[in-house]
Amino acid sequence: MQRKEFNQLKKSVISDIRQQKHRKRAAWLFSLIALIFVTLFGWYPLITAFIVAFQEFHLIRPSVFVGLEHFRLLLFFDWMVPLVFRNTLLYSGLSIGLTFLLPIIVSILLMEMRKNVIRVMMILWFIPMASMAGIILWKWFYSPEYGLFNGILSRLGFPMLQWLRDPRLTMFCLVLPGIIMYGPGLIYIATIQSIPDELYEAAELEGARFWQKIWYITLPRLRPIIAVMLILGIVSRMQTFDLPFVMTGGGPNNAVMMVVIYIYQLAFSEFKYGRGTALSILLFAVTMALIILQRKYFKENIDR
Amino acid sequence: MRKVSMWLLVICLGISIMGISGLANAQKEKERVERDIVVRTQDVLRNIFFQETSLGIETLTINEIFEAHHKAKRATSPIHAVILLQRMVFEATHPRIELRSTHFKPIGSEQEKETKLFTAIAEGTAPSFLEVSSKNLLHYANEGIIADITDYVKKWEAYEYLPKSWWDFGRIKGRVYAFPTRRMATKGVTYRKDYFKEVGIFNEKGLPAPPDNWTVEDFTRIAQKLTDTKKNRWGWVVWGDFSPQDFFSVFGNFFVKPDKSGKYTWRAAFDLPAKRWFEWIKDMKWNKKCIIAGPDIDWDFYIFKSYFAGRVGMGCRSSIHMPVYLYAEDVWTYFGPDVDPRKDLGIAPPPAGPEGLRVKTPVEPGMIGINGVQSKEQIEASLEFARWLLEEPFSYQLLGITKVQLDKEEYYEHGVATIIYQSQPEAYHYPDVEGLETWAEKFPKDFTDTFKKCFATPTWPLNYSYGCPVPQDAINNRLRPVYEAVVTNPNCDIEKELARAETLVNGTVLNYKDEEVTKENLKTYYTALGDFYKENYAEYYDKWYKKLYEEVFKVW
Repeated sequence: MQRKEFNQLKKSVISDIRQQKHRKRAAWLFSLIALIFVTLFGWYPLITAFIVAFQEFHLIRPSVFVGLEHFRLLLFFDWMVPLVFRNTLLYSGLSIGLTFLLPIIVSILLMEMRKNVIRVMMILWFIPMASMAGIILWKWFYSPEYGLFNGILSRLGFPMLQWLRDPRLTMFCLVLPGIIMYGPGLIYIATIQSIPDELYEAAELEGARFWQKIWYITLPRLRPIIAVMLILGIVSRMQTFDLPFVMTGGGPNNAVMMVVIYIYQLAFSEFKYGRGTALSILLFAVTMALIILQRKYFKENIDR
Repeated sequence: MRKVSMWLLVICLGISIMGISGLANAQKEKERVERDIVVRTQDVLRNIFFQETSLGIETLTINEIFEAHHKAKRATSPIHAVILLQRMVFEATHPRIELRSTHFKPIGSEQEKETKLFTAIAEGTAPSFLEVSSKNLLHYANEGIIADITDYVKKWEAYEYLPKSWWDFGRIKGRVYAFPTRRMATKGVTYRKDYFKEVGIFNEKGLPAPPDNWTVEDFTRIAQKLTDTKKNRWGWVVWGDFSPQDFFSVFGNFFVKPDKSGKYTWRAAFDLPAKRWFEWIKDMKWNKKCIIAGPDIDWDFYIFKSYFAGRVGMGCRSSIHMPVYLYAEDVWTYFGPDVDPRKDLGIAPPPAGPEGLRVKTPVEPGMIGINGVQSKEQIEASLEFARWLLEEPFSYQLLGITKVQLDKEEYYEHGVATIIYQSQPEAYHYPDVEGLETWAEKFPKDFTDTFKKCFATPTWPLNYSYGCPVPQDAINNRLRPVYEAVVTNPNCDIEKELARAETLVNGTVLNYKDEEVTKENLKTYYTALGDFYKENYAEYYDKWYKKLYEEVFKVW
């Protein structure tokens, strides 16, 4: 009897081990596809970029190793580099600052409305997010000769502005559509909706007012998502290309020349692939530094 | 028994099918072996009377293509029939060569095209023929993207009958890297005849047009006269991406000087006569207030929303597009169905500079380079196909046949651009084919006169064909902010901005020594340039070049 039980146990252990092995193999197989894609389209270009940054890169002829030459040129001789970083940081700061605060406030206020009103408001908010068409439309709004904004200003008797042709206004012109066309509002709304009602009810029982509920319940619960969105925001804004490129090509007089536009210019207009890649490494370093700072000073865990 | 016979029948049928398909495959295989050299063709070849068709090659007959076009109007054009025949005849007469069409579509911006091309090269699917321009020629040749074709093209008839200056566009340090096609572009000023008439601007013949030998001073005066801000109308619109071709060269086109110290090849030289272009633009923008200029002015703004929409009286264009516009649907949309835009749109040669200097490249041919990454046999086969298209009378005859079909009224009515493309004035060495109208009969007289004048204007000696190449594109990129500062800031200090750009260009673009740019090359180039000015533009030579040559350029 004991032997029989032992054999059964042995069988089940072996079957468990086999199943575990099978599961592991399946897990590896499923992960393999993603792993191949990530390696091919993520890590391979990244490692190549690090190699190309130290080379005089040629498409067909053999490339030549030049050490830190590209970095030396970029950091000590190219006054465009500090300028494009300054523009990019300014744009990122303004854009993140405005597009982050507004959607949070709007999302919180939206949640106080009736369900069907929320739905209509969300549709109104997200329809104008078609990026490229939106950018071109905005470009026409800004046209000093034929644009909507100057049309309104002149009808109201105000002096017309040069908008995209005024270096002092260009940065503002770029940030403005971003506020309307981009907003992580949907994500905030989804997070707010997932906060248990009991928390608010308990707070209400204890006499908490509207702002106190937001301060002590909503915002802390939103914190992890804000942290993630902030990282994504930093990464995407530091790589801004389409908006300034389509609107003014980086001008006037480099007023909105961003790092990525300059990389594009170096690599694809002047065929300086090595130098362009070296600049992209510098951008990577700056972005990483910002993310490290953000991680250090913005704690996402609400319990700490 | 019945079952057995059924099975036998099935087996027999199976064997027959396998046998037939096997034979067909063997035939295909045989053909493949016979045609062992592949030439990859693509859209750009319309420049030498060749164009791919989206309808496919093998399955359609000429009649079917005509029929398809007749029904679909803009779906395709009868010129595709020519392609079919060209392909068939070429392959029939060249048994080893297979013409294989690639799906490489050079569309989008210049940078996009380059990105696509480089990807195709890395992938090994790049076409055999590459469209090149003075902007990318040098880079393509240096990288080995296009092959040195000197020894082949020297044997071509076209090497003799196409103008030498055209071949110079593809010549680097004496070697030919690209051949000119029959099509060329000239630079012209497009203008609105109706506006000229309205404000009373007439030429010597009493026509509403600029004076015959007009200068930039005339241009400014006319722009001022055309400007009427109450009507939302300006004299001229300047392209936003800083296109130096907008008469830049008529002020004296120097951006660099040889480095006297010998440490580098070139140094930036923006304090030379080129500075005057910026001053001219600044004056028109801020003092005379007669132009629209800004970094936001793109193609759509420039051509459609400004020129065709009637908000400016003049525009600067490469003439290659203008005849097409006259027949294109877009123009009719702006002018309305009852107005013939050909009556109101005019074209004139660019104005001369203050010292009579005319544009650097009055006529620029379409250039084709041969993919240098191919095998030697493929390069030779590609060149043979190009030569065949350029020189064999058969191509002309085919074009004639097609053109007779094209003359059907409905094609013009619907303004199918590809149709009139072939009969454009810029098709140099146009064949004399029976039944074929000449472009002169088809286009307004000011168009034909403009082309004639452009042809008569001499082309400047090109630095790279003398072995003195300059990275012009990178320099233009650094000059663009100067232009933008000029058109966006009325108080812009041009000299200060140029000095800043000069530092940047010296530090980041011209920070190299090209050992192949020898003092001998420099001497030959600057001497040829001097001789050219002396012969054609004596005033400019005496006032500017003589001094520049002695004090700035002469480093030998």
